[in-house]
Amino acid sequence: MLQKFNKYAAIFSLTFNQGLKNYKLLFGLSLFLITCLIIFAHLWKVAAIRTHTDFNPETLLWYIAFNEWILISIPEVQKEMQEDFQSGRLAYLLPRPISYLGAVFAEGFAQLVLQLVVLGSVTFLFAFLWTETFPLTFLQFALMLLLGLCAGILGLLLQMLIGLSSFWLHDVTPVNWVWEKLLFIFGGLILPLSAYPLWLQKVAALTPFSPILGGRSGLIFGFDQSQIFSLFGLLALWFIIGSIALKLVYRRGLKILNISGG
Amino acid sequence: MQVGLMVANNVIFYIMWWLFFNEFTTVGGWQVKDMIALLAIGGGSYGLMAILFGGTRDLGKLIINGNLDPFMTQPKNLLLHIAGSKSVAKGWGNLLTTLFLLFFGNLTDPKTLSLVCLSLCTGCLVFTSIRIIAHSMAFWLGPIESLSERYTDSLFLFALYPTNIYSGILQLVMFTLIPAGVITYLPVELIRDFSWEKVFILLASGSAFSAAAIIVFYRGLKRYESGNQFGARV
Repeated sequence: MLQKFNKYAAIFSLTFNQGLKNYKLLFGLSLFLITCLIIFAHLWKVAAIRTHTDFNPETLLWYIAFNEWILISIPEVQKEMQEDFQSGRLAYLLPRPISYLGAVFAEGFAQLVLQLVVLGSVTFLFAFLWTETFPLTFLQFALMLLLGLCAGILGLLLQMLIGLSSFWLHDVTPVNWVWEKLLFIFGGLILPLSAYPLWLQKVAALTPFSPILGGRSGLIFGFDQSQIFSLFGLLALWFIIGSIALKLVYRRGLKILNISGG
Repeated sequence: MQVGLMVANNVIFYIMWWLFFNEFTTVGGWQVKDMIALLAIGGGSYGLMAILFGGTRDLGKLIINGNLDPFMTQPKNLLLHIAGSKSVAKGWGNLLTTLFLLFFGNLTDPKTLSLVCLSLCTGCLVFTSIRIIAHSMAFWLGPIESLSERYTDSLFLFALYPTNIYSGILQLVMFTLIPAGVITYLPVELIRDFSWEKVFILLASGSAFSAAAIIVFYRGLKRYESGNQFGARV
């Protein structure tokens, strides 16, 4: 068991160091994130005025910061998986003495952790300097960070599920776009969830998108300990469902796999 | 299936805006019909780019992997060759949705249709130019294709918002760094209130971004180093 873990730890370590060396990408992502923060903060201010939603502009920016931090940190593993399928590289990866999915997860987790740390530092520092407020206590902030990590892991898992659609589709981009749109809408990124009809808000609560984005970040408007537990529970539940789906889809896909010439 | 998924992707997004406009009849003076025009032009421009210049999506990867060589050895315009080397099927999904929206929004009179066609062409050029510029940054910054693609996708997302809700420096950003305003806001304003001045600005903006893309790419090309792997285009 420890041997197996060491292999995945080695992949994690390699990918993490590789990511650190590619500091220009991290810098670019940080700038991109700050731009998105400013634009979405403005958009939401306008939307909130239209919905007559009471809001504090500073808290709103922190809300968007917690959303964008996770959204941009989730690595695009589905593209790498697509590349593995299309190029035939999968033929070299499958016989390795480690699980293909495990290796992809280890790589993706390393990218996720690195980007969460770097982009989180940038995002929260920017939000603090811009708003000159810090709306959480230390413990609340730590819990939000932990929730963010769990949300990122769930997002990574769902991206892997999208990547597995390569077994059937040549290009997973359309599937990714549909997922992204659903995430933006039901995660409350494009418009505040309060702007939607009630029935749609209830639908959003039943999807994994709400705990990944808006439902989690919404704690900033009113930190409630009972909600923390329910969010952790929801994330765990969706993680279990996602893992089972991932395993089943992977097994199904392997049965129909034709190795492309590489 | 890609076309179908793309249509589904667009429908999800449009339903959201339809719900929003059901609640709030205007946004910055714009009504549902204007929003439909915006979504039709934004989606259609992106789709046209995917169909005609789908090769730009892989530009960053080609640069990093040193795979420009097979393109450079052929007696064709390099940038045009790369851009036109692929056609992405999902672009047809965007165009189909555009057609549907034009009929749904009753934007089918000859004058509006001709302005929409012009806007689709300029929007396609701006999308393509921004993608080329973003991916050409790989010449200087190395493997940043994921960032380049995020930047291009964010342009598409912001192009589907009514740009008239921005003010001050943000509005300037929306016409320069993230030219969502050029792709959708300007054409919709042109349809709402036609003027030759706006036509000129639209054409000039499309040309300016195209020129910028060409300059950035060929400047970056001077820094290009060939890869040592054999490649072929069949």
